Amino acid sequence: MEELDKYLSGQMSDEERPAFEKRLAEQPDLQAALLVREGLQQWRIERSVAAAAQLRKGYERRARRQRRVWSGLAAACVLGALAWWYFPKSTNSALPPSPPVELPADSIAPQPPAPPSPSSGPVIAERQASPGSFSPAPNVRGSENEAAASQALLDQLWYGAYPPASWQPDEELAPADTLLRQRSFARAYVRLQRLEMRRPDNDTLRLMKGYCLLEMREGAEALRYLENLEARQPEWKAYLQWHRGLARLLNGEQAAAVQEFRVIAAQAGHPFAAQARKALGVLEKRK
Amino acid sequence: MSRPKWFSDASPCRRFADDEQLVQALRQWDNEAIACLQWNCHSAVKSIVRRCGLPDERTEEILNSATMVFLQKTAEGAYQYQGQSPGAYLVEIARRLSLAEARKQGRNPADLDSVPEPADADAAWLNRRQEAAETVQFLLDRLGSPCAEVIRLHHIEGYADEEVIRLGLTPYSTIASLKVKRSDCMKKLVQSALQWKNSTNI
Repeated sequence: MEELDKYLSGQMSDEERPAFEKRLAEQPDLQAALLVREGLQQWRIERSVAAAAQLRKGYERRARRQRRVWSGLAAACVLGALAWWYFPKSTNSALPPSPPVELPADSIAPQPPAPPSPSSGPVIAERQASPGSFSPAPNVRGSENEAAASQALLDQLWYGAYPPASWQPDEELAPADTLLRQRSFARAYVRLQRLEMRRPDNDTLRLMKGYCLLEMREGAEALRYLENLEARQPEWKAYLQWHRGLARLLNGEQAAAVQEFRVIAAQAGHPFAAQARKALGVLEKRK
Repeated sequence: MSRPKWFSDASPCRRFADDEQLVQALRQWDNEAIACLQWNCHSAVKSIVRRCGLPDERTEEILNSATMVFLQKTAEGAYQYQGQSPGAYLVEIARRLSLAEARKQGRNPADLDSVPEPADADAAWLNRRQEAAETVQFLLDRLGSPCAEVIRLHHIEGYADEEVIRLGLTPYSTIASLKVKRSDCMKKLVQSALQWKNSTNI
């Protein structure tokens, strides 16, 4: 094994390498050992790269939010400067002062606020205007505010169930399905990511990827996949409700998660009713 | 008073003062270092993918594949830091992978002529490695518990033996018994790989 590690890490000398490769060509057991070593190493690399890619995406989302904040501030500064430049000039213009005019009472009534400009509106206004939009939602994994208390809470009520009842992914999705069953999430993610390029509209794939992201603690991303599936796949409703609740919790949307759990807990025959009741109990205690 | 979060530098590269530090961390397969490398190269890889006539959606996959090749070459010593940016090396790998992919799809980007050696070398290497990973996964499944867990925890998840014992992740309560079991399991895995190779004649 040490020899194999030396070979794989490129540490063999120019004399050692050809001799080893000659033996490798002749000995099937050495070939099998090399296959195992390479497979394990590749698996570990894929796992690291998938985790790092998720980390990078978290930073990218944060950078996008920052850019929006700075553009909003810059736009506000420009508008402020224009206003400062324009209004003093217009009031100090050479025109004779207008006689005071009595305005009717209704003309000075408060006006409704103008709709925010779509291009330069501050971020906060955009988010209020579309509370259902999750693209700018915070990323719990890797973020600085992932407090130990939140982690403990998640650990208490976490229940990721896979596979859903009467689950039959097709042949192409079967390897990723196996990986999810084995809880090899990083590896499943890499495979699903690859498949998604070819089959972006496949609902089964979307559900699998949503679940995978959820287990990788990527709440906002998981929600993107778990939402809107119910309309097309009503038989997944119960499964989606529970996992959406978890995703919302991960995403810091505790009130929305509680709402989702309440709906589940209220249905006696719901397969996740017990978990939802437990989650509500834990969240209630936390208040 | 701490700075508001939106004000701080949103980059995974903050920890690395220079390329040399980054390369050192990359040798350890440090997640933040890998994220930093990808962060620096993402737009360059996207532009290469476009130039090769591939859809934008392939960027992520090609970036990840190039990173895997990069990490392996760094581990093998094929890439040594000598003042050049590791990003430039990663982008070059991504270019080769994109060209190989374009060639496979029957496209003929102008860039192809300037590739001095078969562009498929990295792609072929990666394919072979991915097949090996899938085979090992299949064999570990067949091996079942506890061998699959014992091997996975050490060789894939990267857990230290002390941690495995402390967290009670396997039925073994001492480091010595865990090591003995793992060695035994690795022998079984190699044996089943040999049988598999013979049965598939590969």
